[in-house]
Amino acid sequence: MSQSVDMKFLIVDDFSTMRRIVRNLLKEIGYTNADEAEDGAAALAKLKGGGFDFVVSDINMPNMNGFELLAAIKAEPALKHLPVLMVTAEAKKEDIVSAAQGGAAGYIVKPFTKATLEEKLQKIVQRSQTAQAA
Amino acid sequence: MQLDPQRTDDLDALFEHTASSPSAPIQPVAATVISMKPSATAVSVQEPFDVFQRIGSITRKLHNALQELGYDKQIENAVNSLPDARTRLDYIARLTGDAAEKVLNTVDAIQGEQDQVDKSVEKLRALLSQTGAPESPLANELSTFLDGYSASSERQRAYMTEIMLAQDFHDLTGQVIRKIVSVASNLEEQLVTLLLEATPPEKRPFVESAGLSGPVVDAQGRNDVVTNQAQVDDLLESLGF
Repeated sequence: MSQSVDMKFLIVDDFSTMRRIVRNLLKEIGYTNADEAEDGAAALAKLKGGGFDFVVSDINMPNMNGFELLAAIKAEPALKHLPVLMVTAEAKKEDIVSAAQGGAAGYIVKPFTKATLEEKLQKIVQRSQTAQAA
Repeated sequence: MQLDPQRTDDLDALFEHTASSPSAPIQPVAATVISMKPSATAVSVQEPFDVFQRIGSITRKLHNALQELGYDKQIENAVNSLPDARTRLDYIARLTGDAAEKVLNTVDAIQGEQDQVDKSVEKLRALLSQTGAPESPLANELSTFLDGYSASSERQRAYMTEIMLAQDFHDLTGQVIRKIVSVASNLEEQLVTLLLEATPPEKRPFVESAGLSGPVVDAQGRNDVVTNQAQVDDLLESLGF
């Protein structure tokens, strides 16, 4: 866990309440390094500035939604390695499928629990570490 | 719901303007409608304004009919009540947002207090093990208390997490409210158009269903949505993700 705890997260959600909740949960899980963005466009600008290891993003947002952000991240050579975990109220199967096809690392439906977030994070971190080792 | 007299006047004025023409009064227009039936194109070339006069005349009649039936007032009532409904929804969004924010602030403060007390407890525990009187009744009592406190503190933290997570209702209800507000705005816009054109309402679809739908308010009887995280995971797994 020592290496992954240093990971820097970007939390993308248009509701400040949800950004705070996710940030606090990450802190409780052991990830204290996090920044926030209120929509996809702001997130992309921050990501291009570099230094991030993980993106937790909402889908339904103004300016640039989560799908557009996901596509933009995957289209950018410098960013496409970043795991993107979608945390969203969008519960339509077609949305989940298009997120997966778009390259999302995981999909969590709101409302969610700390255990769910922790489990998905661990899974994604493990997966990316094995991918890096291979 | 109060009617806005200004709006009623404006609408009347608009209809007056549309229906009347300085060169041709209403009556001759109605006559033209009948006369031009066999050869519409020929007539419209001769009288380019004729078609507008016809539309004006029809609109006028429809408007009068709706007015006689009282429908225009009903529609106007509906239009006027929509901004009010939007304001009330905004109010709910603001108040629930403030409440959630207050809860989060308080949870932060409590967690800060807990950190402080936990630190003191650890310090005390270390001190207790250092001092050479672990067998005294007071030391035993203190040690039991500290252990009990630490266990309780851990449970308190879990409760705090629950309280914090429960505030996600603001995000979820907020998204639903935003959706309804946009539907209401749309409805209002369309009703205004309807009033202006005096078109029968059944010809105007109000509900816009494009884009992301936000939280599922009622999943019963729907099979295009998931209702819990397990279903999300199953779906992704079935696709090989």
